[in-house]
Amino acid sequence: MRNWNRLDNTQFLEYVQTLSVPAFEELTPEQQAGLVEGPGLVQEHVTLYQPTSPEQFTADPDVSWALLQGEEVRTDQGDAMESVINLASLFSRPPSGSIAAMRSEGMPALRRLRIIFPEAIETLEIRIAGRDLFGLDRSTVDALFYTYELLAQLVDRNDPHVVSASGQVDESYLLR
Amino acid sequence: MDLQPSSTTPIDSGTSPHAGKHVLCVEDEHFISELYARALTKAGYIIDVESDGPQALAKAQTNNYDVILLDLMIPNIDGIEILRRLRDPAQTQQLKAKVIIITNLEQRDDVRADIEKQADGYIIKAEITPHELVGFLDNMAL
Repeated sequence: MRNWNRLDNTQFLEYVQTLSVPAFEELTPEQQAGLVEGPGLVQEHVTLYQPTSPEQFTADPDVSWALLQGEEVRTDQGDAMESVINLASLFSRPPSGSIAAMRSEGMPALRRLRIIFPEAIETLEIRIAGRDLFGLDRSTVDALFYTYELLAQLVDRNDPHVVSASGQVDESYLLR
Repeated sequence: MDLQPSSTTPIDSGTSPHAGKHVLCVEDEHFISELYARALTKAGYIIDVESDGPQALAKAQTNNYDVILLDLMIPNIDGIEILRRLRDPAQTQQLKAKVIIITNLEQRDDVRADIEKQADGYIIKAEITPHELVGFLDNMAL
Protein backbone atom coordinates (compact mmCIF):
# COMPACT_ATOMS: atom_id res chain seq x y z
CA MET A 1 0.00 0.00 0.00
CA ARG A 2 1.16 3.49 -0.77
CA ASN A 3 2.52 5.55 2.09
CA TRP A 4 0.21 8.50 1.72
CA ASN A 5 1.81 10.69 4.28
CA ARG A 6 5.07 10.62 2.38
CA LEU A 7 3.50 12.33 -0.61
CA ASP A 8 4.23 16.03 -0.74
CA ASN A 9 1.34 18.38 -1.45
CA THR A 10 1.99 18.48 -5.18
CA GLN A 11 2.23 14.71 -5.45
CA PHE A 12 -0.98 14.37 -3.48
CA LEU A 13 -2.76 16.80 -5.80
CA GLU A 14 -1.50 14.89 -8.82
CA TYR A 15 -2.89 11.72 -7.30
CA VAL A 16 -6.29 13.27 -6.51
CA GLN A 17 -6.52 14.50 -10.09
CA THR A 18 -6.36 10.91 -11.32
CA LEU A 19 -9.37 9.81 -9.25
CA SER A 20 -12.79 9.23 -10.72
CA VAL A 21 -15.88 7.65 -9.27
CA PRO A 22 -15.86 3.98 -10.29
CA ALA A 23 -18.85 1.90 -11.29
CA PHE A 24 -20.28 -0.22 -8.48
CA GLU A 25 -18.97 -3.40 -10.13
CA GLU A 26 -15.43 -2.07 -10.02
CA LEU A 27 -15.44 -1.73 -6.24
CA THR A 28 -14.11 -4.41 -3.91
CA PRO A 29 -16.67 -6.68 -2.22
CA GLU A 30 -15.93 -4.89 1.06
CA GLN A 31 -16.61 -1.50 -0.50
CA GLN A 32 -19.79 -2.74 -2.12
CA ALA A 33 -21.03 -4.14 1.18
CA GLY A 34 -20.01 -0.95 2.96
CA LEU A 35 -22.10 1.12 0.58
CA VAL A 36 -25.11 -1.15 0.58
CA GLU A 37 -25.18 -1.62 4.34
CA GLY A 38 -24.16 1.96 5.06
CA PRO A 39 -25.12 5.12 3.20
CA GLY A 40 -26.67 3.29 0.24
CA LEU A 41 -25.99 3.66 -3.46
CA VAL A 42 -26.49 6.71 -5.60
CA GLN A 43 -29.67 6.00 -7.52
CA GLU A 44 -30.45 9.44 -8.83
CA HIS A 45 -27.78 12.05 -9.40
CA VAL A 46 -28.41 15.72 -8.80
CA THR A 47 -26.72 18.82 -10.12
CA LEU A 48 -25.17 20.87 -7.37
CA TYR A 49 -23.61 24.28 -7.24
CA GLN A 50 -20.04 24.11 -8.47
CA PRO A 51 -18.05 26.76 -6.63
CA THR A 52 -15.45 26.98 -9.37
CA SER A 53 -12.97 24.83 -11.18
CA PRO A 54 -9.41 24.76 -9.91
CA GLU A 55 -8.33 26.48 -13.12
CA GLN A 56 -10.85 29.30 -12.74
CA PHE A 57 -9.98 29.66 -9.11
CA THR A 58 -6.32 30.08 -9.90
CA ALA A 59 -7.16 32.68 -12.54
CA ASP A 60 -9.51 34.62 -10.24
CA PRO A 61 -8.08 38.14 -9.90
CA ASP A 62 -9.41 38.31 -6.35
CA VAL A 63 -7.19 35.44 -5.37
CA SER A 64 -3.62 36.21 -4.53
CA TRP A 65 -0.77 34.02 -3.47
CA ALA A 66 2.55 34.52 -1.81
CA LEU A 67 5.55 32.33 -1.45
CA LEU A 68 5.96 31.44 2.19
CA GLN A 69 8.62 29.00 3.29
CA GLY A 70 8.72 27.59 -0.19
CA GLU A 71 4.97 27.14 -0.51
CA GLU A 72 2.47 29.28 -2.35
CA VAL A 73 -0.05 30.42 0.23
CA ARG A 74 -3.35 32.24 -0.11
CA THR A 75 -3.10 35.88 0.94
CA ASP A 76 -6.44 37.34 -0.14
CA GLN A 77 -9.33 37.68 2.30
CA GLY A 78 -12.38 38.11 0.09
CA ASP A 79 -15.36 36.00 -0.87
CA ALA A 80 -13.09 33.59 -2.72
CA MET A 81 -11.50 32.78 0.59
CA GLU A 82 -14.86 31.97 2.11
CA SER A 83 -15.50 29.42 -0.60
CA VAL A 84 -12.23 27.68 0.23
CA ILE A 85 -12.91 27.74 3.97
CA ASN A 86 -16.33 26.20 3.37
CA LEU A 87 -14.82 23.48 1.21
CA ALA A 88 -12.11 22.83 3.74
CA SER A 89 -14.64 22.55 6.55
CA LEU A 90 -16.19 19.59 4.69
CA PHE A 91 -12.94 17.68 5.05
CA SER A 92 -11.58 19.11 8.27
CA ARG A 93 -12.17 16.06 10.46
CA PRO A 94 -13.94 17.74 13.35
CA PRO A 95 -13.61 16.19 16.81
CA SER A 96 -15.93 13.26 17.41
CA GLY A 97 -19.24 14.23 18.97
CA SER A 98 -19.02 17.85 17.90
CA ILE A 99 -21.85 19.46 15.98
CA ALA A 100 -19.61 19.64 12.91
CA ALA A 101 -18.70 15.95 13.21
CA MET A 102 -22.34 14.94 13.53
CA ARG A 103 -23.13 16.95 10.44
CA SER A 104 -20.30 15.24 8.57
CA GLU A 105 -21.41 11.78 9.71
CA GLY A 106 -24.98 12.60 8.74
CA MET A 107 -24.02 13.36 5.16
CA PRO A 108 -24.32 10.12 3.12
CA ALA A 109 -22.20 11.46 0.25
CA LEU A 110 -19.23 11.97 2.56
CA ARG A 111 -19.61 8.45 3.90
CA ARG A 112 -19.70 7.11 0.33
CA LEU A 113 -16.60 9.10 -0.51
CA ARG A 114 -14.74 7.67 2.48
CA ILE A 115 -15.73 4.13 1.51
CA ILE A 116 -14.64 4.52 -2.10
CA PHE A 117 -11.45 6.55 -1.56
CA PRO A 118 -10.52 5.82 2.05
CA GLU A 119 -6.81 6.59 1.95
CA ALA A 120 -7.13 9.71 -0.16
CA ILE A 121 -9.87 11.23 1.98
CA GLU A 122 -8.13 10.36 5.21
CA THR A 123 -4.95 11.92 3.88
CA LEU A 124 -6.79 15.07 2.85
CA GLU A 125 -8.49 15.28 6.23
CA ILE A 126 -5.19 14.85 8.04
CA ARG A 127 -3.57 17.53 5.91
CA ILE A 128 -6.32 20.00 6.75
CA ALA A 129 -6.92 19.11 10.40
CA GLY A 130 -5.52 21.70 12.71
CA ARG A 131 -4.21 23.91 9.93
CA ASP A 132 -4.89 27.58 9.54
CA LEU A 133 -7.42 27.46 6.72
CA PHE A 134 -6.42 30.97 5.70
CA GLY A 135 -2.96 29.72 4.91
CA LEU A 136 -3.57 26.55 2.97
CA ASP A 137 -1.02 25.87 0.26
CA ARG A 138 -2.11 26.05 -3.33
CA SER A 139 -1.88 22.32 -4.03
CA THR A 140 -4.13 21.52 -1.08
CA VAL A 141 -6.65 24.14 -2.17
CA ASP A 142 -6.72 22.62 -5.65
CA ALA A 143 -7.05 19.14 -4.14
CA LEU A 144 -10.10 20.40 -2.25
CA PHE A 145 -11.77 21.50 -5.46
CA TYR A 146 -11.10 18.18 -7.17
CA THR A 147 -12.36 16.26 -4.16
CA TYR A 148 -15.50 18.37 -4.06
CA GLU A 149 -16.18 17.36 -7.67
CA LEU A 150 -15.97 13.69 -6.64
CA LEU A 151 -18.16 14.28 -3.61
CA ALA A 152 -20.82 16.06 -5.66
CA GLN A 153 -21.11 12.95 -7.85
CA LEU A 154 -21.93 10.89 -4.78
CA VAL A 155 -24.98 12.85 -3.69
CA ASP A 156 -28.26 11.07 -4.19
CA ARG A 157 -31.50 12.93 -4.68
CA ASN A 158 -33.04 10.93 -1.82
CA ASP A 159 -30.34 11.78 0.72
CA PRO A 160 -31.80 13.76 3.63
CA HIS A 161 -32.18 17.47 2.95
CA VAL A 162 -30.96 17.34 -0.65
CA VAL A 163 -34.46 18.21 -1.80
CA SER A 164 -36.26 20.98 0.04
CA ALA A 165 -39.86 20.86 1.23
CA SER A 166 -40.83 22.70 -1.95
CA GLY A 167 -39.38 19.91 -4.08
CA GLN A 168 -36.34 21.84 -5.28
CA VAL A 169 -32.83 20.40 -5.16
CA ASP A 170 -30.74 22.44 -2.73
CA GLU A 171 -27.81 23.19 -5.01
CA SER A 172 -25.73 24.41 -2.06
CA TYR A 173 -26.41 21.27 -0.05
CA LEU A 174 -22.72 20.46 0.37
CA LEU A 175 -21.61 23.97 1.14
CA ARG A 176 -23.96 25.15 3.83
CA MET B 1 -12.76 26.23 22.99
CA ASP B 2 -13.86 29.79 23.35
CA LEU B 3 -16.98 29.79 25.40
CA GLN B 4 -18.46 32.54 27.46
CA PRO B 5 -19.89 32.51 30.03
CA SER B 6 -17.22 30.77 31.96
CA SER B 7 -18.07 27.10 31.65
CA THR B 8 -20.51 24.62 30.30
CA THR B 9 -22.19 22.55 32.93
CA PRO B 10 -23.14 19.14 31.61
CA ILE B 11 -26.79 18.43 31.84
CA ASP B 12 -28.06 15.02 32.65
CA SER B 13 -31.63 15.23 31.67
CA GLY B 14 -34.76 17.01 30.93
CA THR B 15 -35.11 20.39 32.30
CA SER B 16 -32.91 23.41 31.90
CA PRO B 17 -32.97 26.25 34.44
CA HIS B 18 -34.18 28.25 31.47
CA ALA B 19 -36.95 25.86 30.44
CA GLY B 20 -39.65 27.77 28.63
CA LYS B 21 -37.26 30.39 27.27
CA HIS B 22 -37.62 31.08 23.56
CA VAL B 23 -34.73 30.42 21.18
CA LEU B 24 -34.59 31.56 17.58
CA CYS B 25 -32.24 29.30 15.69
CA VAL B 26 -31.01 30.91 12.47
CA GLU B 27 -29.45 28.09 10.50
CA ASP B 28 -29.82 27.09 6.87
CA GLU B 29 -28.45 23.60 7.23
CA HIS B 30 -31.41 21.46 8.15
CA PHE B 31 -29.42 18.64 9.66
CA ILE B 32 -27.83 21.03 12.14
CA SER B 33 -31.00 22.93 12.95
CA GLU B 34 -32.62 19.59 13.72
CA LEU B 35 -29.74 18.76 16.05
CA TYR B 36 -30.21 22.03 17.91
CA ALA B 37 -33.96 21.63 18.04
CA ARG B 38 -33.74 18.11 19.46
CA ALA B 39 -31.18 18.98 22.11
CA LEU B 40 -32.74 22.28 23.19
CA THR B 41 -36.33 21.06 23.11
CA LYS B 42 -35.37 18.10 25.26
CA ALA B 43 -33.91 20.54 27.79
CA GLY B 44 -37.14 22.51 27.83
CA TYR B 45 -36.38 25.43 25.53
CA ILE B 46 -38.95 26.52 22.97
CA ILE B 47 -37.34 26.58 19.55
CA ASP B 48 -38.15 28.45 16.40
CA VAL B 49 -35.98 27.71 13.35
CA GLU B 50 -35.44 30.08 10.46
CA SER B 51 -33.19 29.43 7.47
CA ASP B 52 -33.60 32.61 5.44
CA GLY B 53 -31.69 35.78 6.33
CA PRO B 54 -34.38 38.46 5.86
CA GLN B 55 -37.05 36.37 7.57
CA ALA B 56 -34.70 35.62 10.43
CA LEU B 57 -34.01 39.34 10.85
CA ALA B 58 -37.73 40.11 10.87
CA LYS B 59 -38.38 37.45 13.50
CA ALA B 60 -35.47 38.59 15.64
CA GLN B 61 -36.75 42.17 15.51
CA THR B 62 -40.07 41.10 17.05
CA ASN B 63 -38.15 40.85 20.32
CA ASN B 64 -40.00 37.67 21.22
CA TYR B 65 -36.87 35.65 21.88
CA ASP B 66 -34.52 35.19 24.79
CA VAL B 67 -31.69 33.74 22.74
CA ILE B 68 -30.79 33.96 19.06
CA LEU B 69 -28.41 31.31 17.72
CA LEU B 70 -27.07 32.94 14.58
CA ASP B 71 -25.14 31.13 11.87
CA LEU B 72 -22.87 33.37 9.84
CA MET B 73 -23.43 31.78 6.45
CA ILE B 74 -27.11 32.02 5.61
CA PRO B 75 -28.84 33.01 2.39
CA ASN B 76 -29.77 36.52 1.31
CA ILE B 77 -28.49 38.44 4.33
CA ASP B 78 -25.51 36.93 6.09
CA GLY B 79 -25.25 36.57 9.84
CA ILE B 80 -22.80 39.44 10.26
CA GLU B 81 -25.21 41.83 8.56
CA ILE B 82 -28.12 40.54 10.67
CA LEU B 83 -26.06 41.12 13.80
CA ARG B 84 -25.18 44.64 12.66
CA ARG B 85 -28.84 45.49 12.04
CA LEU B 86 -29.91 44.02 15.37
CA ARG B 87 -27.39 46.26 17.11
CA ASP B 88 -28.35 49.36 15.15
CA PRO B 89 -30.86 51.38 17.23
CA ALA B 90 -32.23 52.94 14.06
CA GLN B 91 -33.26 49.51 12.80
CA THR B 92 -33.99 47.49 15.94
CA GLN B 93 -35.37 48.54 19.29
CA GLN B 94 -33.31 47.50 22.31
CA LEU B 95 -32.87 43.78 21.79
CA LYS B 96 -33.87 41.55 24.68
CA ALA B 97 -32.26 38.40 23.27
CA LYS B 98 -28.70 37.27 23.78
CA VAL B 99 -27.12 36.72 20.38
CA ILE B 100 -24.83 33.72 20.05
CA ILE B 101 -22.82 33.39 16.86
CA ILE B 102 -22.43 29.76 15.92
CA THR B 103 -20.39 29.04 12.86
CA ASN B 104 -18.46 26.55 10.76
CA LEU B 105 -16.08 29.14 9.59
CA GLU B 106 -12.80 30.26 10.87
CA GLN B 107 -12.47 34.01 10.80
CA ARG B 108 -9.48 36.27 10.65
CA ASP B 109 -8.67 37.40 14.18
CA ASP B 110 -9.70 41.00 13.56
CA VAL B 111 -13.02 39.97 11.98
CA ARG B 112 -13.73 37.57 14.80
CA ALA B 113 -12.88 40.20 17.43
CA ASP B 114 -15.27 42.61 15.76
CA ILE B 115 -18.07 40.02 15.73
CA GLU B 116 -17.42 39.07 19.35
CA LYS B 117 -17.76 42.70 20.41
CA GLN B 118 -21.30 42.76 19.07
CA ALA B 119 -22.38 39.28 20.12
CA ASP B 120 -22.97 37.67 23.50
CA GLY B 121 -21.13 34.49 22.57
CA TYR B 122 -19.15 32.93 19.75
CA ILE B 123 -19.17 29.18 19.12
CA ILE B 124 -17.46 27.10 16.45
CA LYS B 125 -19.40 24.00 15.47
CA ALA B 126 -16.31 21.82 15.46
CA GLU B 127 -15.61 22.75 19.08
CA ILE B 128 -18.88 21.98 20.79
CA THR B 129 -21.31 19.09 21.13
CA PRO B 130 -25.09 19.58 21.18
CA HIS B 131 -24.97 18.68 24.88
CA GLU B 132 -22.42 21.43 25.53
CA LEU B 133 -24.52 23.89 23.58
CA VAL B 134 -27.39 23.28 25.97
CA GLY B 135 -25.00 23.70 28.89
CA PHE B 136 -23.74 26.95 27.39
CA LEU B 137 -27.25 28.38 27.20
CA ASP B 138 -28.09 27.10 30.66
CA ASN B 139 -25.16 29.06 32.06
CA MET B 140 -26.15 32.33 30.46
CA ALA B 141 -27.95 34.99 32.43
CA LEU B 142 -31.25 35.14 30.60
